[in-house]
Amino acid sequence: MKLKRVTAFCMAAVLAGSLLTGCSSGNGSEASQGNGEDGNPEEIVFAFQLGKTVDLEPIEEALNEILIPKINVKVNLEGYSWSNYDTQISLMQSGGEQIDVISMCPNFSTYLTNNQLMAMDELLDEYAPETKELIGDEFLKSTSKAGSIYALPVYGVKTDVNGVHIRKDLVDELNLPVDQIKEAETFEEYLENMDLLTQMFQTIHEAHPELVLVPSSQNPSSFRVTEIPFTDTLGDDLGVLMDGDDQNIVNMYESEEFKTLTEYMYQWNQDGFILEDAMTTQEAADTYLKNGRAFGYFETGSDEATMEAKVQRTTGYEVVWKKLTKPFVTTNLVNNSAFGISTTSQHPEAAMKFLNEMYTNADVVNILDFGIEGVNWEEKNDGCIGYPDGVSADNSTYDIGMTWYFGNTFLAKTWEGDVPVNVDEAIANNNSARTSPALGFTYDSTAVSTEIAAIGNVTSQYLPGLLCGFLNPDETIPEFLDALDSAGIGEVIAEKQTQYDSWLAENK
Amino acid sequence: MNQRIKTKKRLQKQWPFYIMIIPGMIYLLINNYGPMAGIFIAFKKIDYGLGIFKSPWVGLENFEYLFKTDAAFTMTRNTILYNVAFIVLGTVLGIAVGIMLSELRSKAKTKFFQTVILLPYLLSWVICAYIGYAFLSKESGLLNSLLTNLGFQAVDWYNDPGKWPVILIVVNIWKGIGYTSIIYMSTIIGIDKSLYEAARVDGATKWQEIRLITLPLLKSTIIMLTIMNIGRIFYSDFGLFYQIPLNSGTLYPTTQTIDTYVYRALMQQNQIGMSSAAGVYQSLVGFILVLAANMIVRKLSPDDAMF
Amino acid sequence: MSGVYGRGEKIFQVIIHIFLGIFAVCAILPLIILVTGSITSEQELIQDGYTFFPKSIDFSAYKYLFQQAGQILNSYGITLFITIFGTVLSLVITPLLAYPLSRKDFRARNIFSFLVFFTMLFNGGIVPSYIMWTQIFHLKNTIWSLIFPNLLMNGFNVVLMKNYFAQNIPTELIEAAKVDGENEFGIFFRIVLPLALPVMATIGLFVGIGYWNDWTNGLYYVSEPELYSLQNFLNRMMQDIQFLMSNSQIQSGGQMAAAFPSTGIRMAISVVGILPIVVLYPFFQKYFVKGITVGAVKG
Repeated sequence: MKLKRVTAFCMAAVLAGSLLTGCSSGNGSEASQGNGEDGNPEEIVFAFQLGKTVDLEPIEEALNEILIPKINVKVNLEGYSWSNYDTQISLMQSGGEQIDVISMCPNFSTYLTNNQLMAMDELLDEYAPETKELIGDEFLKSTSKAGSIYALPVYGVKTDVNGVHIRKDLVDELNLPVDQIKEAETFEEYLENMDLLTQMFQTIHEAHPELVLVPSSQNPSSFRVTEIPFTDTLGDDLGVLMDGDDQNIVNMYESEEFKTLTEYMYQWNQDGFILEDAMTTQEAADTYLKNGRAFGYFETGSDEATMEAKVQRTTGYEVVWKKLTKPFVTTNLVNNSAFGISTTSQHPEAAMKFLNEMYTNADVVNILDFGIEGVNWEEKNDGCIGYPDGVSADNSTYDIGMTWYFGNTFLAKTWEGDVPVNVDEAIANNNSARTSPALGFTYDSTAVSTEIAAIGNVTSQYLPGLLCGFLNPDETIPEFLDALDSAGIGEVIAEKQTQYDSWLAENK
Repeated sequence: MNQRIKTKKRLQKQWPFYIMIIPGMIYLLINNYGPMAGIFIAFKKIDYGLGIFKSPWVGLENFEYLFKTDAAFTMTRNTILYNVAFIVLGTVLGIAVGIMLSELRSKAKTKFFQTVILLPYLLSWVICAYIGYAFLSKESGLLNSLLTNLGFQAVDWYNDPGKWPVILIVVNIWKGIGYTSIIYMSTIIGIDKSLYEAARVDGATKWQEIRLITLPLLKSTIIMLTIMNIGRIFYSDFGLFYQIPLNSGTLYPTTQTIDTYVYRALMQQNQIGMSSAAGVYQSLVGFILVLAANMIVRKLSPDDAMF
Repeated sequence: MSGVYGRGEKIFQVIIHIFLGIFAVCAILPLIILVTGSITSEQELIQDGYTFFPKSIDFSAYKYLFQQAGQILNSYGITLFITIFGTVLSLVITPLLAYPLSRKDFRARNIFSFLVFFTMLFNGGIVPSYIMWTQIFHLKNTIWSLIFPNLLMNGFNVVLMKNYFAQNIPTELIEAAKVDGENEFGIFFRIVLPLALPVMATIGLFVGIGYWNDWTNGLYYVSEPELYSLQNFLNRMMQDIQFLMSNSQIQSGGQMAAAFPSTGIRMAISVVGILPIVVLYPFFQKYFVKGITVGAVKG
């Protein structure tokens, strides 16, 4: 009997042992499969976020028909659930599973901090010079660290600003002075916009008390009114550069500006403009608009016609969308969505060749965006595309709605009813937009991860109430600041300042 | 010589037991003990470039955030108090419903009530949260429309932390009662019926039957379930505490538990070392408490001890 | 039981009916809201809120789901397979482990009981499990990944069963069988198992529900839609909606959310998820109750 027990423990030991060796040997063995030299295409795995249940096999085949002859790379697409994506990637990387190209949205800096990304400077020069040229050094700085490039930001419109949707029939009926809303260039001008909005909301409220303003979703941060214009949040709102000071990192929540904006929200809420369930609703804002409960909501965008067309298509209501500020390009805006090569990749060259196609080959981009021509879409008049006969939004087998996501978004075709993007103008706007003095600065939060963990709980406790106007700023902000202090926001800001100072020294 | 024969005989008697437990033990070895080797991750800062085995050791650094602020007190208090409430109420109501179900005289009725009471157990927490919202929403909820129709003031449920201990306990019982009552019911049904016959002949009332026969026979099941629950006293059902309050910040004082804190802390960070540290902490406390509880049980009623 | 009931017994019956009735109503009202929510028009939900009696009935949520009928049917198939296969396998290995642990003459039972119990307290977390199942056992994107990790057997069920054996199988019965020359396997299969039907049915139910409702295995181990179980398919949708709605930094969140189904549809989804259990459960319960009565026959 003793013997049996011993056997059992031995088995446990063997198993644990095989677990260890299994992982380490797993790393090496996969390199053998397919390498470009002997004519077989190199196989790579491209992982990205996918919110819809879609069979990716036909898409893969269509892509490989282009990729294998051209660059001798065969790609395996793996779409993972948004909610579990970051975990899934770290599981795959720690397990030695093959993964080569990773999409990141929106956590580039986390991937960088955890050393999940490979430096790609040489690969970029050798295999993707066009892409490097295309994105440009200015934007590539946002995905760099200590002089090395770690990812390619999605190439597209970078001039998104906060704007407000208001139902057009109300604008006409009540003669709302929407045209007086200007693209603010200073905080004072932004406050003028706020006053104007307050007036208009008041008018709407008096005429139609049943209509309310809805935050763009349950998430308070997308209630972007309280975003202080021309403030660079440096990735996580904890320690920011305020407009007019490009040296000192400060606590945004302590600022007069933040308080003023939350006071607007509180007033709007007190006056009954805001949906009572704003903080807990499970519906998207446009659902409220569509069903006659909302008169408007806030949303970021860059082009009036595009935004208005989109809302009309999803809700059936004509709206007016007005920008509230001028664009302001920050690191975070640029690297919000990016593609990198996994540190565990055995095929970095092939991965880079594939990335190059995703930024320069319109066919590749359009397959990823819309699926297969003739099956999921076909050419229509005026250069637009649409569903082929017999296919609709209800039964399309692809239709993932992620044209903003893959590589070079300017290469995407225009869907019927959408407003075509004027690429030259968009690029000109990108280049002429005001940029943050910290553009290109990314920070490594490793040293303060304990503090950030504690702060995460404080902000999610206080911010939603403040940003939706349910908490009185006079009482809540001091409490909020105390909690932030004891969670260690001071250390976070100090750490960020140190890193920022050395970044400044390197880049000036 | 004699000794050896004895040993041999004993082994002969015992070997079928070992054969029987092999498949199950192998499964536990693989599924549970294998991954336990990975507990070391809690003491590392994972660097994917180096791989999990070569990543640097960081000592207890990954644990710090669990004790960092006043939130540590709130979340620990909440986790423990809710668990105590769930253990006490869950046991009492589970037994009560279990007894009632087993006392029903028609099979069809047992079937009906059992199915219905088990239904909530089948729903996922996300859906329970939607149902909760349908009742508690300020402007479109059923409770508020009932209250206002009766002439009361509407209540802002999701901004009133004081009401949540009751809400969460009710929701937890609602969802779990079907499960616990079935455990007790299957034990009750296994009880030798002649005991009840004998009691009835002696003129015992229903209440006496329950008190003198059923409850004493349930004792070991009750002790067992309680010890197991004590082992999980630092754990909380993430779905219940995160989904049902819809992540409303104002409710944290009464809804924050260790699991929700960890989730919110690591949402943006993806630090597997830190999340693994939380698991180690929760398990360790549970383990110590279970050993203590089991020791006490061993003293008082040796037959009911778990091991 | 005898057919004669006293007055006390009658009062007792009335009381338990009242109590169970209350419990049943509490259990079922929220579910009715779920069903009415799924057939109320979106407009009515938004403007007038939830109600037990919607003004107009609107099946558009179900029509929306019907468009995905192919995927849903396939997912039902996967779910059914893993539930049946997993439950049967579990009902083989769980009692085999639990029974010896309940025998007082099994000398190593304390050690093994502890080893079983210990698994309930500690776990290595998802990272090592994932590495083991994908790298050593190569379960990724196979149907086995929906069966083996975590769900097949757990310490709780073993302890529950062990407890039942210890309490309800009289030692004399086993001794008598030994005298009759039965070996241990014969005792287990011919005497113990038939007496254990109530607990087998209970554990079977728990394991079956576990398989039916599980979506985490699918989330981690499966990325091909043809292997999505029903709950995996439904929960991916729900979790993604929630994630995108509450993640501030995804700039195009609004754009994504626009395509998301409304709450009514999400409620319809969950009705589709539990409906089969509600339909199938009575059939299963026939065996469940039979098991219980067989167990009760001996005395």
